[in-house]
Amino acid sequence: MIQLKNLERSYKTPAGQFFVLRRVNLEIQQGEFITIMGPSGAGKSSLLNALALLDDAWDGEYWFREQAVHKMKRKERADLAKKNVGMVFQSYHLLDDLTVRENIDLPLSYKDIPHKLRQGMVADTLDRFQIVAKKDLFPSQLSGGQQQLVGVARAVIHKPPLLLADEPTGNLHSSQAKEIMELFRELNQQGTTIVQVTHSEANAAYGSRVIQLRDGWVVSDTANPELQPYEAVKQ
Amino acid sequence: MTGLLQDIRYGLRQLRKSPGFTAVAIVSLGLGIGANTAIFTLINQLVLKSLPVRDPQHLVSFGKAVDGGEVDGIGPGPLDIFPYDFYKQIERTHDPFLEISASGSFPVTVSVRNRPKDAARQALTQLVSGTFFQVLGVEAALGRTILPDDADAPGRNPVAVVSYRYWEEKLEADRSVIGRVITINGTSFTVIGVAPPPFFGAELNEQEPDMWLPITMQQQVTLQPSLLNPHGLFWVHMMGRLKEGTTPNQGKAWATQQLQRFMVTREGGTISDKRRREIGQMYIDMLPGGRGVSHLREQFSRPLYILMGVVVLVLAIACANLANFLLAKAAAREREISTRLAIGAGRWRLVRQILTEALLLSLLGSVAGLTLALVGTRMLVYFVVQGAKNSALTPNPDLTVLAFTLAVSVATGALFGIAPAWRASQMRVVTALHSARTATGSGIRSSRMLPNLLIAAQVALSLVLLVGAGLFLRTLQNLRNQNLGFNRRNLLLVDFNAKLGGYKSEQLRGLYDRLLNGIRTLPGVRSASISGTQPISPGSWTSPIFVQGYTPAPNENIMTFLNRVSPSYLDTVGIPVLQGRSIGREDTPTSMKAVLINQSVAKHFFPHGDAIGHQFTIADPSVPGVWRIVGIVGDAKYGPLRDEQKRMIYLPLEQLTADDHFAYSIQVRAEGDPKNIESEIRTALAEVDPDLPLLKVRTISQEVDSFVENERLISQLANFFSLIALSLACIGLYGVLTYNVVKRTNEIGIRMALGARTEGILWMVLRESLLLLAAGIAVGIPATIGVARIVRSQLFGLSSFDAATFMTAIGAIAIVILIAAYLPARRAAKVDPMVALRYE
Ligand SMILES: Nc1ncnc2c1ncn2[C@@H]1O[C@H](COP(=O)(O)OP(=O)(O)OP(=O)(O)O)[C@@H](O)[C@H]1O
Ligand SMILES: [Mg+2]
Repeated sequence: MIQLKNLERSYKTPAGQFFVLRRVNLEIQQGEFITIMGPSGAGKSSLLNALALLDDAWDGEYWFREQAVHKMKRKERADLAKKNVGMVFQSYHLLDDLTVRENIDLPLSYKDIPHKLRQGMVADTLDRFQIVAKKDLFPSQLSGGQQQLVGVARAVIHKPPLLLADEPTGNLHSSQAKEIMELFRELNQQGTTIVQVTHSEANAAYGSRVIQLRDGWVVSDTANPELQPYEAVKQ
Repeated sequence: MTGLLQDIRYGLRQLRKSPGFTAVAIVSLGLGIGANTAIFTLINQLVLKSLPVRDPQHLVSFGKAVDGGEVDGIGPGPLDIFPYDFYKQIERTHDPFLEISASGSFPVTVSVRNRPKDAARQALTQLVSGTFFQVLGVEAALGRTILPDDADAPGRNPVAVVSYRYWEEKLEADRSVIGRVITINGTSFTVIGVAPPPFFGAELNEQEPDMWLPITMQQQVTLQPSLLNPHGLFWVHMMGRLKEGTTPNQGKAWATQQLQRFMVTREGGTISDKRRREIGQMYIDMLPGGRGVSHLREQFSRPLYILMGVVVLVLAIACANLANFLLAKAAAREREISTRLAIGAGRWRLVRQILTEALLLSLLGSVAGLTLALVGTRMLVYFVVQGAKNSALTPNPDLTVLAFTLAVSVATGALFGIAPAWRASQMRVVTALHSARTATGSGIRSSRMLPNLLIAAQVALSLVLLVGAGLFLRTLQNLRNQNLGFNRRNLLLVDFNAKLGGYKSEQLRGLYDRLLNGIRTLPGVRSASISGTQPISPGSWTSPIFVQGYTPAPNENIMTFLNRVSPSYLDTVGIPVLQGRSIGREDTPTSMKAVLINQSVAKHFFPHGDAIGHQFTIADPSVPGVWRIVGIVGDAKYGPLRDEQKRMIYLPLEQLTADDHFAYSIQVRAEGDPKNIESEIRTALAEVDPDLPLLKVRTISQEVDSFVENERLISQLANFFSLIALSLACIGLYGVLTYNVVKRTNEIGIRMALGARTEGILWMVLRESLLLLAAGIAVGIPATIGVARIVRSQLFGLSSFDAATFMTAIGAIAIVILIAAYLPARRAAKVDPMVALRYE
């Protein structure tokens, strides 16, 4: 589904160029459930943002179903992302002005989906996440965990083929976390490709493949045992 | 106290922190407060301020006393101009009054020699009764004032009190000037006193008099027949000082009774019952005289009040901007404020800090405003007095003005400080901290409510101002561009005075010929003529006419204006002859008396169109005999441009005698711009007689403009201020939208991450400003209609709902607002979601 070739991301800082992703080569197959792990600051969120096509300031090649994303204009990338990607943000990013229901409805509102259908989808999702009672509250009236739930609901409502989740259970009670993971597994079984970032081994266990990042380098990948230890590459 | 100092220091630090915005705020406020101060300075001087005299509250004016001149044939109604002998009569008893004074109703321009060998200079004098200075309660700064003994009989006494300014500028501030003999129009006068510096007489007009002369010296000063005889013309204004405990109404009753008795005696034994009834309806109003009398006040107080309304709105718009600015700042500090509240800061303290900042801003703004006002008032005064040099109107602010400005600035500070202060006092610690933690940054909906309301209000106010300005502009255009009934291209008008030049009636014929020949032979001159008064200026020569074979209905108005013209007048000015012939060379002193009438006269007296050949007599005894109508000419506008056409008859200058043979106006039709040949004309006239006083030279356009001064003042300033208002509203909208966009960067980023298109984002921001625009206009239209009704009486040639003006104003606002909104909208559309998502 996705192929990254020598993807690099760097920031210009006063101290010079600072790399957060280094020569990332990665192949993601349709239907995979991948977990990205690594210490804080390793570049996990950066990689996810690149995959989500939110970030477009990277170098290298990005192939999405045989389409050369690296050659696309910003607008084409945005369209591609809109059709294919759902994203759960590390810091939720709910809109304070909108109610829970409106927040969940947001991705649908940017697609040409008939109003009736949209209402049904929103109702289903509220139901599935058991937040019907909260549907008219504003995010500021929710607990952190509840906000995270809404963030997940919003990411999956339009059934994107690729679901990217940045620590989707960071603020959740372990039983709630388990429910989310069960949901992810279910989505995965229905064909959704999932890439999640997590620090939790338990969550990682739901996935089919684990990738370790360190200082921007992919240092191990369960699907690719031959991967050179990154110290060696670094030389 | 230390708390206050701390607040001030803190406020100043806050202002320094955002110097750009502070500058914009101070300039906006400066414009608003400056405009208010400038207009108020004028209102204060024209309308509010008392004369610099003793106990001005006891002074009353006999009627409005604003129109000057010499008139006769007074009808029923209020009277404000009187014959000299009426003054003499009531001054003898002056029952409810301590004193009554009289003064000439027009200033007299004289030629003065301050020393025997000095060149003669023009000076403006006022004729006053011996009681004048006593009534006003003014003592001389040097020497003495004119006293009753100085003015007790015609021809007494040749004495003069000069103004302080005249003394300083023309008499070298010479302290030994008392007793010096100066020559006024050929008569020797002794300087007996210098008036105190602020004193300018009892009239507040364009130009203050240079000296006051006894009214009994009228003949020597005006070089005209005596106006002092019994049964003389009506020509003096009167003032009185009421006795302690007497009301103006008692004064009115007494004076009215005196007047009616006087009129009955004046008109002799055989008064018709009708005239008796008319006299019974005459009365004298006692109006407050403490502020002096002023035709400028009559003329400009309404425009100034309208402009005051305009600048108050401008200030309101500036205030709304500042309120938004402080709201934004307070919102940006929400986290800080809630943290302070959480650690126990008092709310009152916070409110005080915000109010202090607002007041600091407004005080800085008022300093800027005062500076702007100094310049602005100078221009305003210059406009109102039409460049006259010695005016009692001064552009300098007095204590009242300073107090006004201070009050305005405190009021504005409170006005725009209250909203943010209130917001801060309402803030709940928990919500603020909570939302700071979740920090998606777009804030709750209601936080955008107040700024949006303010923007909509600004749009509404701008609409009111723009429509108002548009209506005034169209009014001005309509007045200027109306068909005046003559050709106003390339016409130059010259006023001269042969009487002041020492000419006798018999010499005039030759003089007129030489003048006209001198001008006509100049290159670039097409034709020239001489007349009693200029086109547009009606003059004051009016009289009833008695048309033979026409019996006027009872009470019918048979007055008409009269002008005396040389044969070339109609041709030069471009008034068409509609029927019959014009006046020509053949109309000599010995030939049949020929007269032209204008269409209005023809319509009134000859509805069947058979005027030519009819004859009439003129009530004015100085033009005796029977006049035969030889032609009907088109109506030309005389007098105020809003007035209806006046009846006018044209008499041949040649056929008039004595005083009526004097003409004061020359018209020159040039080939091109008449300004170009002005100096040649001056030279040509000086060659005829270097001593002939030329009083005023101007083009017809300037003359027409002088009739639309009020309209020009309102229109130009209203337009100027409405543009400022619109700019302020735009700056406000731009600021608020930009601030909103910045505040919503994170939200916009999320929306983009979730699939919103850039056009969608652009539209989202634009839609918001369109809504504000629509709301503002929806509120603005009824408000504008209301305001337009108030100024209806000032309009000319269009209704107060003039659709074109409304549409233009709405269109202008829409365009400008959309431009102001587009920039922040584009900024929003350019948000990079990656950056935005990191934005906390
Ligand atoms: N805008 C930026 N400018 C400079 N450096 C940045 C910027 N954004 C991210 N970084 C750097 O990139 C590195 C990777 O950040 P990233 O958010 O991908 O880490 P992460 O692995 O997701 O960490 P965590 O587990 O804490 O979420 C960090 O060292 C961070 O400092
Ligand atoms: Mg991260």
